[in-house]
Amino acid sequence: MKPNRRILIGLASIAVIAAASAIFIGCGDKNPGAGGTETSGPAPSGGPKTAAGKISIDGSTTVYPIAQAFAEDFHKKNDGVVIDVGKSGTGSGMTKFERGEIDIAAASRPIEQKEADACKAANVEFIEIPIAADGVCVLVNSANTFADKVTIDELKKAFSKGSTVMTWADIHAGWPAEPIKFYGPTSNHGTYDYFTETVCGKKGNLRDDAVLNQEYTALITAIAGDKNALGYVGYAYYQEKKDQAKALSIDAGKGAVAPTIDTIKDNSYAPLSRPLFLYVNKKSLDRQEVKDFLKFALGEGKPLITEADYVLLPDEAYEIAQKLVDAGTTGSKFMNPQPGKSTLDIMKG
Amino acid sequence: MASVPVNPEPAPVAIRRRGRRAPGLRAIGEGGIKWFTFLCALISVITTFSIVGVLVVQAAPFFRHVSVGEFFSGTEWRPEASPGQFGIWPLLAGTLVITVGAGLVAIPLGLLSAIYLSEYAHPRVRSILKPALELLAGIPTVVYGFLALTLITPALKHLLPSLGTFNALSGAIVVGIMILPLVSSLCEDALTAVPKGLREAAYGLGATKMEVTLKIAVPAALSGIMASFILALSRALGETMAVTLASGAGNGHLTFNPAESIQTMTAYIVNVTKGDAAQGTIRYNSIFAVGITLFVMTLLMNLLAQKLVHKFRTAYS
Amino acid sequence: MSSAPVIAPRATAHMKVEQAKHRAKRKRLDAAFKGLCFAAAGVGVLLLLMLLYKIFSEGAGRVSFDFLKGALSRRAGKTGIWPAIVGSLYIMFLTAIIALPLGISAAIYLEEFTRRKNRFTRFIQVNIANLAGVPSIVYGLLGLALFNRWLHLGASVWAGALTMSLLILPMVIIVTQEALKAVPNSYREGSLALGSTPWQAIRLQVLPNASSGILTGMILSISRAVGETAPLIAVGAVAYVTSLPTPSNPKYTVLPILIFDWAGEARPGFDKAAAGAIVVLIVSLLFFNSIAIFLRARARKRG
Repeated sequence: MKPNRRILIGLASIAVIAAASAIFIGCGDKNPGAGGTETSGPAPSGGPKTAAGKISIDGSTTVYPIAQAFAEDFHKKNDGVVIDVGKSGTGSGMTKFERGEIDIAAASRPIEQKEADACKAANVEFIEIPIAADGVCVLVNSANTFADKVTIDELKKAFSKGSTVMTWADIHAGWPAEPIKFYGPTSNHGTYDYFTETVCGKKGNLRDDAVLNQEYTALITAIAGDKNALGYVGYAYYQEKKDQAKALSIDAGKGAVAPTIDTIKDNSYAPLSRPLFLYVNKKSLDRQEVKDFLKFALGEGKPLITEADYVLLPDEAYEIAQKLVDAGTTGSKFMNPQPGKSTLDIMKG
Repeated sequence: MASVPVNPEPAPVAIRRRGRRAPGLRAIGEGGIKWFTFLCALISVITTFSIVGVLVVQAAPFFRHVSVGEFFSGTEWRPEASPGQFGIWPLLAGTLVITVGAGLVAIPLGLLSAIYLSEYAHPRVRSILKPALELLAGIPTVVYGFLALTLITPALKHLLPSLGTFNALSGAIVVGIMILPLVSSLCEDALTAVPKGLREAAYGLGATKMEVTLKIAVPAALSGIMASFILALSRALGETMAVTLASGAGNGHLTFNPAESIQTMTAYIVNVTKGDAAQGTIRYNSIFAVGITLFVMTLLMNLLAQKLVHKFRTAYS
Repeated sequence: MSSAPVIAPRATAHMKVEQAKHRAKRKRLDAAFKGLCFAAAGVGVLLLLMLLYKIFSEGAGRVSFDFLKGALSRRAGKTGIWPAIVGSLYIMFLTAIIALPLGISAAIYLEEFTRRKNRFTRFIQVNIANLAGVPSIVYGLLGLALFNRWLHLGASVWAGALTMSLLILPMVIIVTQEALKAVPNSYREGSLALGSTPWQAIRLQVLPNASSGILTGMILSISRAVGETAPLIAVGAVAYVTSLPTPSNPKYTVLPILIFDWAGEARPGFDKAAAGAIVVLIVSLLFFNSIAIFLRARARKRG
């Protein structure tokens, strides 16, 4: 009898744990929102509520803070809508977008020709929405007292493939002859593409010995902890560690300009100011939740962009984008580079 | 015996049916159960073949692009560069620095504390410490990564101000602490398994406890102790999360300097899969090539450890 | 020879002094060695206590009902971990449902149905031992190619659970075998002698007597699955989900991944959130594991 009792006790305890957890999950299912959000009753604040649905977003790590904020606040108001946000990098997100696995691809650079071709081949039509402005910040450690500004030519010399620059003195006469450690994101990131194209002349034309990180958080932490660091990262990530890292002013021939909200907004932080994008699968727009999500992003969600430490585009840009969404206008206007033109002008043009 | 179900191999000996009047239905049930359990056991074999198969098939496109010789002799690992450089030595060096460093931390501490537990400690102390060690061995590795970043690296930076935030040293130390419970637990098992008679004979000849321990118990348990070292090192070799967090990404240059940021084979795989490299790209296939290397290395270490354990068991049982 | 008696007394006296010195030296060495061993054990214990202290001092204050039941948030101070807890529970139960029956059956086959080892069972045995030593990230690669891509399960909780099941299967088999081995052979023989079939002997005699051992192994294996991170990253668990996994939307995150993400986070406050999540994870794992260790200790005492 005794052994039987023991196995019974064992089974019973497993059953109890299972049941308890099932109840636990069950009550969670009814209440998936933030502590105490009710599913029944009116939505917390104005606007019609989307009943149910799901939205998949992936792509740029730079855009991730914005996309996550949109998702979080949109979900608070429409808790029937399930949203997941990834940050695998612009290139990786685009691949998933081409395969039709996600509804929205976040991108820190315009779509590329070969990506657009892949979309076409897979019958994926997309709507291009510039969502915010960002400045790629060139960072040094805050213990670095000698470097304050740098010219684009100096950056090109330092970062390009086959560069002979090894010490700070090689970049700029008068700086100490201490070895530099170069940092940047890995090549699946739009910031990598944008920086190498803009600064080094060609996509991927980066020196071989740079430390490349998949995670921006790790990248900024590394720069903040290395006094000989020289690296680049989006504006929002610089803001996370601005007490331990310093953004250099960039001189592109018209005097040195530091990256700030204002200089990014008026595009005077050139050429490293750039728009960030959301690419939306046109098929997904058939679903009410995706439409509502975009309406939220382009309307009442806009303050979240500022909160995420990025720069708002002019209001008109969001109005144009909303029209693109409403009309289902597909195609890219940013694919071919148009230097000097503002985001709004390109959208209008 | 006529109704014995079809067996995949000779009839079992210890449990053999003695009943002569087995109803057909029950015989089928019995046979079915045995077949079912056999298939379950087969899953482990299938798993092994799938691992090998997946690694080889997925790595094949990589090796069409990069020759095997280049892969195993190259000293630059730069999958991002164009054209990419795929010499595995920087990753091997990173893995080696972590493994050796972890061993330097865990092996002396682990062995000595195992000796303390098995030879000196009061049975009550041991009955508390031993389960406590096993509990600690159950802490997830990602927790050790967090500790490396928040506790060990800041402490190291205090001692060596020039140290970067991501460095191999911190990773090695934290992995060492992580495998410490494993080393001491397994060593203690090996030492306890040494027959009492051996020790008593030495005491009878007037040996001190240290002499008994170092000249009798440890040599007698040597193969078991070595096996525990190898198993622990193989854990360190395959450890992923702690080193990914602590040691950063490296710059693909061959270095054995523990103060540098390095990338291990495991950390490379995690970093690529996190970015979800698109299928069909050389970066995607390169993780499987690295996976093969990792798999073969740990396999060899485990086989060696098993051989040593076997030797140890046959000596004392 | 004639001079020997003259020298001998001096020599023995000298030797006695030397011996005494030698003995004293050995005693000192012995004491030093004991101290060294004690210090090593002490350092180990201290290090581990320090780590636990660090985690609890940082994280315990962060744990609250809102933290446990709250949604994930970009704001470190407001974030909860509920979706990750549920994700971990899903992984835990799906893995348990898949891996435990398979593993226990496989162990029954190896221990009960083939008591006499042949080449095939020896091969399976070596194979299982080796699988147990394969790094978890390699299982992640297997899951990535097999479940995510080949079976098109994508970044779903199913792909995660299947990968985890393969990961813990060897461990389940090994611990179950240990438990079955501990059942005395006479139980089987007695049962068979009374006319039971082999399966009856297993079901009615062997399994009940191995139950606490098996239960221990099950708990330890499942808690391994709950703590693993690397394979789930490889099979694509996402960092941020607004909701819990459902059959129609099986994307998920788990506690270890959340901890990994937050530990690497540069924004202030997330280190505390990570520590809080670690406290939740560790307390539950230590709770499970101590039940297991307690059960095993009791079974050993009895056996």
